Amino acid sequence: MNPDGGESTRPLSCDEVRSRAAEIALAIVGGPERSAALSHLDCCAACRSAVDQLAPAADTLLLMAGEVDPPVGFEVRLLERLRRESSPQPPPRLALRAAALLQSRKWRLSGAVAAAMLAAIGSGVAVGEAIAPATPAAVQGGAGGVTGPRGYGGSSGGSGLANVEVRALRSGSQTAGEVLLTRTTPEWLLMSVRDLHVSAWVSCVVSVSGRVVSVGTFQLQDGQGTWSVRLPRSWALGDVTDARVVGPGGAVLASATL
Amino acid sequence: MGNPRAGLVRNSFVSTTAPAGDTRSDEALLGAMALGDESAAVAFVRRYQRRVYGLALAIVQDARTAEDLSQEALMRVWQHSGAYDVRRASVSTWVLTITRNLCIDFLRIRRATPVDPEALLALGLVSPGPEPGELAERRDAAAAVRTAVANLPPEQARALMLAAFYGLTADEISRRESIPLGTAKTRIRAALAKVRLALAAGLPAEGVTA
Repeated sequence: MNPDGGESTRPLSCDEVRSRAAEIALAIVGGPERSAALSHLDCCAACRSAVDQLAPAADTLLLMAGEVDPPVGFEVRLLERLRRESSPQPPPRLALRAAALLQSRKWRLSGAVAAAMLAAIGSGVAVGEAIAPATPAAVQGGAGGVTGPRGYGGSSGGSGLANVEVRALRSGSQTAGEVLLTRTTPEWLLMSVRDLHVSAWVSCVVSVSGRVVSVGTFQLQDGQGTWSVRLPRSWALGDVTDARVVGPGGAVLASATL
Repeated sequence: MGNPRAGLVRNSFVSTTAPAGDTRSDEALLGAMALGDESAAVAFVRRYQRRVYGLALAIVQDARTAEDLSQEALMRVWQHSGAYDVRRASVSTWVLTITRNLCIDFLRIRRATPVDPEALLALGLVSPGPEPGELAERRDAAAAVRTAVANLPPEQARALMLAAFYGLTADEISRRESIPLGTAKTRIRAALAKVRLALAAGLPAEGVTA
């Protein structure tokens, strides 16, 4: 292991890089080997040339797929999304609704957790991206979003209270946090974990249409962590029936039924 | 070049009507998109949506998923339009690679088994569209690469398809095809070298020694 915690690797020789030139051009070399290969290419013009000669052929292969008319409305939906995300906006109505729910005493969410969750809904956190630990500034930012102007009509898909589900995350008989699922397309799953007494990378696993799928990993520090994930659009609303936090050894640390 | 996204936020789309056949280059459209020009975005989407969707559909083999992934791919193109580097790859390569990578990520998350690469080899030729000149070039390029791949030994063609479309590593291909790792690497290497030479020479790959 290197100091960053990643797998260390040795430098590659010219022969080794050239024997992998096709794989590098096809972008199928991964992990430490890819890193070593790229480092080598950075300082070896001859090997870079060998890869560069193959890269156009590798790229051209993708043209074999041909062109297909997308479904009706594809362009309209895409441009609508571009417009929505290109303009400065107050938080979507969904976030305003979720704010009320998240701040309700029923779920006893701290301001920091609620703000982090709302930030995730309102700003579109990437798949599997962990939310940074809530700082006073972050909390302030989230709170500002919650109190945005009324009357905004740009919600991306439903905005009633019925579109947000919050369930307690249970670890045995104890409450170990909350799971929030937005009933929108796509759905967002937000998880706030506490009191699990574990500091480790854990997986978020959901049951969807009878299958068990890992939707990402995140880090618990001192038993706490908050994160969000945008679920695939291809999953129908209501398909996700439960969410679990699975430890490194495969044990279910906490779960929630949705 | 700064943060392209930040620029877009400042310069939200200027609503203009996209001309029926925008003659700007791909690079010019990307540059305009990064500045918030909606007409450029409309033209770009119209130019690329069939290619992007066609690739996604070929890989994931499901219309709804292909649409979602295509939309996401074009969103990412827009989000990173200001960071596109013309020295690294053509716009077409860049866009299709983004699409391919999204599809591969999706398949890996779902732990889906790639479809038989023979299905890709059996895909139809590029269908007609609204841009005759450019389309003819693309159709020629697609036909050339299809011919080159079709003329490879079948086991080499399969290895190449699994690598190029599904992102399978040599190790994964060796396990999937039940062949030694060294054999998988050799097939990939030989296949790509033959295709490269065939494309360069305008010859079928079978007539090429690599």
